[in-house]
Amino acid sequence: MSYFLLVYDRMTGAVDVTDYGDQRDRAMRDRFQRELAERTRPEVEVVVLSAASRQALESTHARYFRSVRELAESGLMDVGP
Amino acid sequence: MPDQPAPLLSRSQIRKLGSRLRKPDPPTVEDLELLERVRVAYGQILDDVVRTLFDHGLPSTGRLKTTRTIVEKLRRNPSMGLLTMQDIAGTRIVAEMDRDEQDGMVERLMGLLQNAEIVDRRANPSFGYRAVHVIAREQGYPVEIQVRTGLQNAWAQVFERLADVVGRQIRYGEPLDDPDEEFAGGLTRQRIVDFFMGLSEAIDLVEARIVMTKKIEHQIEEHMRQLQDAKGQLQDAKDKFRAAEAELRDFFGQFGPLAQAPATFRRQPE
Repeated sequence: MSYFLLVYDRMTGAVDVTDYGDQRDRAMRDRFQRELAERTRPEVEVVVLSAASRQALESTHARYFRSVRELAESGLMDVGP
Repeated sequence: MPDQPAPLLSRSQIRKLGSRLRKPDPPTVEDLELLERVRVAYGQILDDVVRTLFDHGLPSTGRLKTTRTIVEKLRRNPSMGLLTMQDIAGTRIVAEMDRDEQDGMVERLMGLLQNAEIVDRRANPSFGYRAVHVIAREQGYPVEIQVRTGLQNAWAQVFERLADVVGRQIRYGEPLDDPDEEFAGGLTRQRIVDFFMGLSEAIDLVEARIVMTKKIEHQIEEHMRQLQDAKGQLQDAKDKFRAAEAELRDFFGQFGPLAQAPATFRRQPE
């Protein structure tokens, strides 16, 4: 399992992802420091996610990686014939 | 922060921390460090749950609630404390499955996890959000496992992304700051939010009908199988009848005069 630190700007949709491999404690420490540094910017979300792979992460938490249009086109327009 | 995680605070300390974080003032660095200790402890518990699920072929993505969302939730829900907040630690399973299969996955989870409970947000959605949550309790602390179908997850992802842009309060059914402001394509923000509420209901209907259609298809297939069986049995019966009929003809052939004796009619004497 890998730990990913995401720093996500809700307004612009920009996301910075750091893969910490299996180093959870380091990811958590860095998350806390980054969260403190971003305290005055409510639009910035700092989160650690644990997943089997980046691909799995992008599936379960697609909103960090895609626009509203991309999300809608990839998931909501596929209810079958 | 210390290099090694500090032990989890006492329940009383956690309760008091929640009360302080609820206040409108910005949290102090000391309280944020205390909250971090709580989150680190939750993180270890979450890891155990995620690994258990993974070992049983149920990969999921784990996350700890951010400081900001914890504080916002405390302020939004005056009766809720840190100890009663069920989603500080959470993990998410998304799979292409129908609702019956979703129910099956939830049953598997209930078998794997002790002291778990089900929160079904399909029948009772939370402001359009639909999924099934299993709340596991590990070492006395809750871990929320979200089980979503592909469509339920797609809706939630789009709506959360939308909330990032138009205002996070739409996730809790609170009014928009600028409902009449144009969002895109001439549509106002409120119209977009209303559209997604309607879409959530449409998805619910589609998912319910998919299961119903599959059940009917299954019933039809079963009836078709029974029909084929019945036709086969009818054919067998006819074959037996024809065999018996042939034997009967042979029999009558041998005793023709007996079989062809004329009928005699009499009137009852008065």
